[in-house]
Amino acid sequence: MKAKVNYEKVKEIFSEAIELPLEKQADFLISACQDDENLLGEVESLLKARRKAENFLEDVSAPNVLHDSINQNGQLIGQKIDKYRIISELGRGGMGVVFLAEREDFRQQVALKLIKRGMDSDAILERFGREREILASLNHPFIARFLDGGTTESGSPFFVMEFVEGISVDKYCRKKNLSVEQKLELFTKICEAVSFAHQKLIIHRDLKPSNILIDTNGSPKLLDFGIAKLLNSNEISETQTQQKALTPAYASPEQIRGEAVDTTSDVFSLGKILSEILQNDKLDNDLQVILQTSMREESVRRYASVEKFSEDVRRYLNGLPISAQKDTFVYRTKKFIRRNYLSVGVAALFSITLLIGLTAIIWEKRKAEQRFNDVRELANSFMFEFHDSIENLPGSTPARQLVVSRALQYLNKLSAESGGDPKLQRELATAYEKVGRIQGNSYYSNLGDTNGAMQSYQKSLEIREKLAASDSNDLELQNELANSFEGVGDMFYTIEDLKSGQSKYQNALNIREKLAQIDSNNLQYQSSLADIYGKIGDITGFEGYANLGDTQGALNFYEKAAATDEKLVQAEPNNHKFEQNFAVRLTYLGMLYRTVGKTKEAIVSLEKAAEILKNLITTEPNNFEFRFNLLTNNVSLRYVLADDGRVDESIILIRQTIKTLEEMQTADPQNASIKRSLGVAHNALSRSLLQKGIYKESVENAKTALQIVEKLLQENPESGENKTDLIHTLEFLAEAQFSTSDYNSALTNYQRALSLTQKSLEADSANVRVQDDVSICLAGIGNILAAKGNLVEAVKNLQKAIPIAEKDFNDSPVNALLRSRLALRYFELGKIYEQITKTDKLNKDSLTEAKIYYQKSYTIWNEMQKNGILNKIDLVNLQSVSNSIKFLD
Amino acid sequence: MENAGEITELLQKGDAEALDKLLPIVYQELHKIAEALFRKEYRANHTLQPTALVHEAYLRLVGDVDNIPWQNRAQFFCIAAKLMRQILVNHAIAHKAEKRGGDQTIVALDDAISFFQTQDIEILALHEALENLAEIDKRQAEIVELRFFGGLTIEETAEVLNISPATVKRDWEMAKAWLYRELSNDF
Repeated sequence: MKAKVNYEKVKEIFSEAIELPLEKQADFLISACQDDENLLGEVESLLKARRKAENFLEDVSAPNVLHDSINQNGQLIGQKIDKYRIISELGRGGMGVVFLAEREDFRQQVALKLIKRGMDSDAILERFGREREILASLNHPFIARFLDGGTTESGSPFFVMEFVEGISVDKYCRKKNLSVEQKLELFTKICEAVSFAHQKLIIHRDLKPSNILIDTNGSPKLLDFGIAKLLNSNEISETQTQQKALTPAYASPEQIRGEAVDTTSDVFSLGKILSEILQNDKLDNDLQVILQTSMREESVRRYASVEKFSEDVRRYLNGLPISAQKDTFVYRTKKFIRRNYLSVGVAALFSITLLIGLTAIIWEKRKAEQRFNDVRELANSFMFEFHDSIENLPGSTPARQLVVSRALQYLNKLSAESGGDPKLQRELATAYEKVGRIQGNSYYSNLGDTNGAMQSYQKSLEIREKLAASDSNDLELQNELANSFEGVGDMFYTIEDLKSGQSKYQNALNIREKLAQIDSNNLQYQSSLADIYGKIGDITGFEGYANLGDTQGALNFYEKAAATDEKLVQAEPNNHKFEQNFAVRLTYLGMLYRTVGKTKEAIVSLEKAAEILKNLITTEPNNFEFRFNLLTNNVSLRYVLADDGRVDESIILIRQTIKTLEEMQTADPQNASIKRSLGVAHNALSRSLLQKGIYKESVENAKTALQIVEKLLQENPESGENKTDLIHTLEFLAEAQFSTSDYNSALTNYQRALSLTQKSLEADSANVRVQDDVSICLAGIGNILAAKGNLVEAVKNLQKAIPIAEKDFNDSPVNALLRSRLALRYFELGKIYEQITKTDKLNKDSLTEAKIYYQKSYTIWNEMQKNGILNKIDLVNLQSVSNSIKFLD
Repeated sequence: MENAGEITELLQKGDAEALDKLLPIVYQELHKIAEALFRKEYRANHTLQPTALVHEAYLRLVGDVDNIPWQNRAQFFCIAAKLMRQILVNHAIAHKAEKRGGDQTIVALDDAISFFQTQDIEILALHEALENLAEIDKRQAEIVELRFFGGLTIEETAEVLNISPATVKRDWEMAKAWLYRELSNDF
């Protein structure tokens, strides 16, 4: 019976142990495993198995034994190897000796490279067998031709190449005393040769000055292309590691670490070589940047190809601006996988198609036998396992689409033939659920097929409801049923049928609460419960999304969600996912507290979220999600800090946020989420500055936000989110411009926002959030007209704005933001009436109206204060309205 | 060999449609080779390893052409490895259940499998052990599949899985030991 131990740990110790000589293993194991006897036992047992398993699963063909030793090659001069007579020794390296040789039948002089003993000749020859055609096809004037290869009589491998008379590039440059420009010209020729090889998918892997000869015509000739690959591989004996065979001075960091090599490894080596031949020259800034870019530690941050490298050198020579940029922090946030898009995508596609083809074959075969269990298994697990394994790979969408369409074909066939077999029915339901998720569930990476997804989820729900009706004690079945309800709910949410969505979520919630109660140690049940609380909270009344307007209800659900998340974090303290879920939930919870006017609670919640996320970032500094969630949280925190009168703090916070976002944007310029957040953050800063009385800068920030938002809308004109952002930004800008007394610009912007809201309302007249904006714009226009002295029109505008604000308030009385906004509208109208009284002292009606509206706003704010939901900004308003009332009396 | 041109083209294309066409061809070829095994044509001179079958299939289908990028060749072996494993396992199951239809291929493959068994590798046991390994370490299991059933070298395996050769080598060493222990039952 094997004890349960951490396999990763076993792997780590095992891998280190096998690098050691046998006699040292025991001591190493004791120190590595410390007191963990299970771990020690497991590693020892595996090491013992390994000693017996040497040939297990390996090809059984007998290994050739190397007989001759190159160290005694003195004897080889004058001898024949295959068709070649050895003339003299040209040089020696880590891998063997190079001779000048002659092919007797053609009188052709060649360079013959004899591989040193100790290299695994079988493996080399095997690779050579596969590579030779490719190497032979490498026909370029600047590359020494690969002519032949084989084994000596005693079995040592050798390679034959065109013999080049020339001197190495570094010596050539010194000897000819070349200028920087001449050196660069020569270097671009070298690049041309390497680039040509790369197009043929051959990486040099061992570029160094001694492999680049310059012939008597001044043309470069690159030696040993592809040879390093033949020699340097897995089959080299363990003592002779890859890095020893390479030339460390020119090898890229990833080569030295023994990791996968690609064309950018050659870029690195070329950069080293260029810097070496330029070392005594004075280099200007651009040239230094070019060199730095080519030799960056992380391969993704280098030039993506030799061609790009060479192109920049060429641009430099022609006096054009170079493409490389100074290295900054931001590059580090780049996703490393991006450069491998193509290969990853293609590999995934191959695997997928394999499975699909296989399924098709077996399907045809089995159908005849009326045996579809195998098909079922393939369709269900095989395909989805594959789908899941490629889900997060960029560029895998076509492969995923293929999987889904095939899976559906099989599922529908199976569904028709499945009869009443409950086990099969259950698997079918799971398959439909998975297909639904892939098709169109926006909580996951999906293919955007909303209708298809709805159908699939509903099929899974139908099947599971029937199954659950006959067996209500199976907890896992209940869990699956909840998944289906939730999936259907998600789809209703997506198409904004909020009532139906809420009711499906409620069905899921009932089941999940029961499950979490029955099996309280099941973290999966707890985690699913937290998620459904969050979703039902969103749909019920989260301001940020389409919702049913019940803020208090949303808050209750979110409090439950956060409490459940907190339990999970306590149950598994090192689980980053649980921590992140908790933090994001706290961000939302904070925003909800703000909406109901609970400023203190909002700050506590948001600061706690920030703390969790900052800790997570310390452990995983490159995790994009952690960083992005923190920035989103910062923007929310800015709003509540400002509500609380802590304007200075809010300004500092949001300035930092903008800086970080800008860095992230430089690293990932196409990322729309970052762009949008940057717009939101500039707006937030504009608000804080306005509160602080720094009006000019407030206008500038709102303008920056406007530029960003307009660009986003241009890129994606259908996005409702972008349209709303534009309306809000115009409002913010107008308000800031109003403060700088730039009335005309402010008016124009309010009017533009107003016409946009009207367009939105034409499309969806029930949209509460847009109506809110109509009210804001009308009031804004009214205030400007009042400032310009057009009091009659000002009153008209406010009187149009107020009924809308009243309706919003009545629809959602618990919403402190809407409530306070209504009070503000009353206050504004009161002020305009007061102004009328001043210009027309006899106008008694105006005086009465002013008093009425002041009183209305006073009542609201005063009541909010009594209920403890009045923030600092509104407190100031309350004081000024109460002063105005006193003044009028 | 009549397919060679077409297959070369398909491998070079490498898109979904091309692969869709390619799979049945490879599958059938693997079957044919297994059938020949039954007729003992190959036994005398060839090492009878799944690897050998796969390479044989490659040579027959693609030939010794130089214009296929080696990455694509690795992909071919990757496909073939998975097919080979599935073929062997399916038929071992069929054999075990003593389901003998009139299908000659099945018989042929059964025979081929019994040959593998004489080489101390019982295919079903290995398959099951691999499934168990996959539960603990998916990548190690995948590496074994590619190396053992497909004959991919360490470097090709690394390319297909998009990891470093050093990692493949470490995992391969450990997976072999783990599977050996699992199958030999004497630890």
